[in-house]
Parts: sequence; structure tokens; C-alpha cells
Amino acid sequence: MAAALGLMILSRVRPDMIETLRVHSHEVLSPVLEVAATPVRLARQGGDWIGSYFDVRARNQALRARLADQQALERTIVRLQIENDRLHELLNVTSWPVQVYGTVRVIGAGGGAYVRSVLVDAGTGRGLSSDLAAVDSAGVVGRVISAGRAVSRVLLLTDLNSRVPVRLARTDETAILTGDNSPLTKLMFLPVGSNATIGDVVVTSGHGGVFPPDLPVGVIVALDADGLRVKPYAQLDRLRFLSIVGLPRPTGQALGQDRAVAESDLERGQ
Amino acid sequence: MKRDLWLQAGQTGWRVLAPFLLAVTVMAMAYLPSPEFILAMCGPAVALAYVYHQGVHQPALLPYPLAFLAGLLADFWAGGPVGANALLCFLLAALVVPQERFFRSVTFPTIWAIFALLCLGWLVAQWLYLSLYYWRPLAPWALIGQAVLAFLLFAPLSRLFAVFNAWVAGEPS
Repeated sequence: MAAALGLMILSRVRPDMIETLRVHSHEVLSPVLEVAATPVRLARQGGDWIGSYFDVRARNQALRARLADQQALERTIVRLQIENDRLHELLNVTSWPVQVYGTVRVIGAGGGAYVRSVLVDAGTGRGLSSDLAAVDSAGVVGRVISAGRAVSRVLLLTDLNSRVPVRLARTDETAILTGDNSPLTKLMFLPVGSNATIGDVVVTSGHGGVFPPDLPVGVIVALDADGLRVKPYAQLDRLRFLSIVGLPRPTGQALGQDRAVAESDLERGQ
Repeated sequence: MKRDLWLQAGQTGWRVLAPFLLAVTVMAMAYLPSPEFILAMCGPAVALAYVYHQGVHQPALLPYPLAFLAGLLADFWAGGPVGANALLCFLLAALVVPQERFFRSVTFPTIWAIFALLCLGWLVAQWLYLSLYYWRPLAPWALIGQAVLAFLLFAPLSRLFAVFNAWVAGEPS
């Protein structure tokens, strides 16, 4: 009983220590999950295959219509990309570098009553560390909160403890996106007099050093008693593969150079 | 003679560990990715059902450290604060194991009804602990869902453990 009480206190006082223990337990769990997941994955693939076989005609028509829309969109994107590159060149703007750490597979869901997180099959062995962003093909999923050698845990946007610095694409207002374990996330700390409205697109602001800026996060879909609600673009309940991205970490040498520049700036100021 | 003692100790150890390993495997399967984390909600239910079933039907084969460990694994794998399920599983074992004589004389519906009351206690204790941990009154619906799941899953899980225990002991189920 003393051990349990000790752990309860420790998880409040030293959550980092508990997280390390948790990652080690996940490392033990991952082979069991891999084995257990195989029949489930095969059954799911089989179900998908049978489903797609029966509605192939309808899907084909829908895809043709979508392809026509996408081709029009692609032309617009290419035109805007060229224009954007020219403007960048003219203004001598450097874009934010984003480092891609690779694609990982979701192997488990660590979800209690008040936790929304997933386990992925990569860790420090593939260069992952805590405080990297996880995205899927549609948008931001969450951030890596602990990394073991071969397994990492990603805290989803909808988790109670999730905080993501964001920006409204239309108005450039910054805010914090928080989760409350419901499928929709909340926008908090918007500037006073903000004219954010339903339909506004939310992207990462790049503040905080975890999420590279301008990653699509979601769209404002509702206004309730708690404020504006954002529906994430990522399908958080159907995650299979994630990309892990982050801002490039300064190397030791670069860090030393930065420190030297800062110190000389300080001296000049004095 | 000495060899027989070792053999007996090994058999007892296997009878203690095998159901625990089964519970761990079923618990691990609860953490497979599923829409809306439905499966993951069953994690603590498996730990509770394991401890309660063994405590009622095989009290001699449920050492308290194993009950503690089952709760601890549920805590670790769920991703939330650690210790509450470990403590509750330990307390559950401490509450049920000494009542061996009482449980021998009752039917399965009574055992299930008592488990429903224990689930209610688990729900209240978890809600209090987590609300204190996060320092805000949390909406209890997710925990209510888990408690109801634990209650509903007890019958099939109990049957699974009974069949497995019989298989491990080499008895007809």
C-alpha cells in the first residue's frame, strides 16, 4: 500500500520519472501488441478489401469527380507556389526549416478515462525524442511526450493536458489550442475583441519550439459555453501512420556560436 | 523427496503466474488502436476482473504483489497518473481474499452483484483521485463508462479465467 501511495505522490511530484518507467513498460508491451495487432490488422484489411470490392463502381465515379477538382486545385497551387517563391526571393525571406524524422506506425492506444495518446513503433533509435510534432496526411495529431529506444508515446491534440500554440490563418491572431478529451478542441487566450468565427482555419503558430509554424491543425466548427471549438483535420480515432516532424535542433557547435553572439551583443549593450 | 518439493513449487508457481499472464495478455490487447479508444477503456476492467475472480475462486493463488502489479500495469498502459489502480487492486485483493468461506457459499449472480458494488467504489475513488490530481472536477462520464464496462465484462472474463485455471490445473472445466 505504501508503494502505491508513493507512486501516486511520485506521479504528481516527478512525472518525468514516471514517464520513463512508463516508456520502459511500453517497450515490454510492444512485442505483445505487435503479435496481438496482426490478426486485427489482417481482419481490418480484409474488411476494407471486401468493402471496396462491392462499392468499387460508386467509388470510381466519386474519385473521377474528385480528380477533376484536385486537378483544378493543383493548377492553383502550382501558380501560387511560383508566385510565393518569387515574392520570397524579392523580399529575401527565409522560410522555416522543418526536419522530418520519418514515418511511424501506430501500434497501441494508451487511453484511460482521461488520457488520449497513442504508441508508435519508433523511438530514440530512429532519432525521436520528446517534444517533436506528430502529423498525419491531414494535419497535426499531437506531440511526442516520451521516447524509449523503440517505442514512443504521442499525446493527442484532444488530451486534457495538450496545449498547442496556434494562429488563425485569416486574422493572424494567436491563441492556445487545448484538449478536454472530447473530439473537439478548445481555443483559449484569443486576443480581446477577436473576430474569429466559425469556418476559420487554425494553423500552428510556431511558438514554443515544438510545432513548426503553419501546419494545418483544424477548423472552427462551433461556439459553445466554453468558447470556440476546433475540429482537428487529423482523424484522431483512426490513426495508422504518422510523420514525426520538428524544428531543426541546434548542434553543439551552433549552440556555442549562438551563445557567443548573444554574449557579444550583451557586452556591446553594456 | 526434494525433487518432489521443487516440482510441487514449480506447479504452484505456474498456477499462480499463468492466470496473471493471461490477464496481462488480455489487458495488452485492450490497448490496440481502436476508434474512440473503446478497447482501451476495458484495460482497468481486465485488471479488476482478474483480481476479483482469483480472489473469490482461487484466493490461495493470488499473492498481493501480483494484484498490485496487475493494477500497476493498467495504470502504466493507460497513460494517466500512476498508482490509483495499483492501490485499488491491492485493496480489492485484501478485501476479497480473507472472505474465502463466504464466497464459497454464494452463487454467481451474488458474486456479480458484489462486483457491481465494488465497481461503484472503484468509480468514486478514481474520480476523487483524478479530480485531485488534475485539480479540477472532471466530468465523470468516461469513468462511469469504464465502470459499466468492467461490470459487463466481468461475466465473460470470469468464465475465461475459470476455464484457464481449470486447464492449468489439468481439471475438466
